[in-house]
Amino acid sequence: MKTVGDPEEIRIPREDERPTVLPVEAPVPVPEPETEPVPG
Amino acid sequence: MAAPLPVLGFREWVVARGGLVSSIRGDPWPTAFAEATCEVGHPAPADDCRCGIYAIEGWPRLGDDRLYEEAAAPMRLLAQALLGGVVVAGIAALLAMDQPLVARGSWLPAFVIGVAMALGLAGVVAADLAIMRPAYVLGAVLLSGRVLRYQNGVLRAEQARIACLVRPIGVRRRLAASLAGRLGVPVFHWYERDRAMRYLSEHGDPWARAAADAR
Repeated sequence: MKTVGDPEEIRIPREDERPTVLPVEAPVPVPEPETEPVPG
Repeated sequence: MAAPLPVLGFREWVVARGGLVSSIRGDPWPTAFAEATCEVGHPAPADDCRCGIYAIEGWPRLGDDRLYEEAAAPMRLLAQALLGGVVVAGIAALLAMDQPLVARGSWLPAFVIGVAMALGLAGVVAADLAIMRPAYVLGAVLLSGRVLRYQNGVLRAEQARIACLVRPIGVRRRLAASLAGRLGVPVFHWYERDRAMRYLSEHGDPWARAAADAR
């Protein structure tokens, strides 16, 4: 590919330098409310 | 502070039997990710070398002369249209010439004209097939590592990841979808620029924004 002129330059972190995305934790199950024992 | 997004670039690939290859050097792109190397042995892209992964900074326009296949696209489309026109006109001329002969029972002249016309049209089609270029696709790449930008909007980078493929005019949908599926990237059609750019804006920054953030 033909290039024209002098280049500008920037540096973007390489893929192996990027912070890894932490896995999303599974939601903690909400305990069901305890049911009071029904007197017999 | 969040890590800067990669630089968004656009490029083309030729479709080979094994998948995508770069349009000029013929380097294979078996996966969506590619890292530049140089045969000389230094890290790529280097200042006094032509190594690196090339792209352009904006959505390629039809006939963009910074790309090899895309630059030839208008002529290719014109040639296909002319070929179609020649074939249709040839068949129409054949019918117009042969019908009166057949109606008068002049079978031999009708046959000779028919054979001559068929040979002529076959020659046109054969010539077109002989000079036919391979199929190509466009696509967006996310550039990272060392990224250089030249005055004509050409980018040269250390790493690239294909973000999506773009089906150019005249390339079969099924072919583009198959290539994109193999790479695990989405495919957009040439007329879906806005939709593609919305998708790409989540994954990369245009050069101007990336350069402003980097300074």
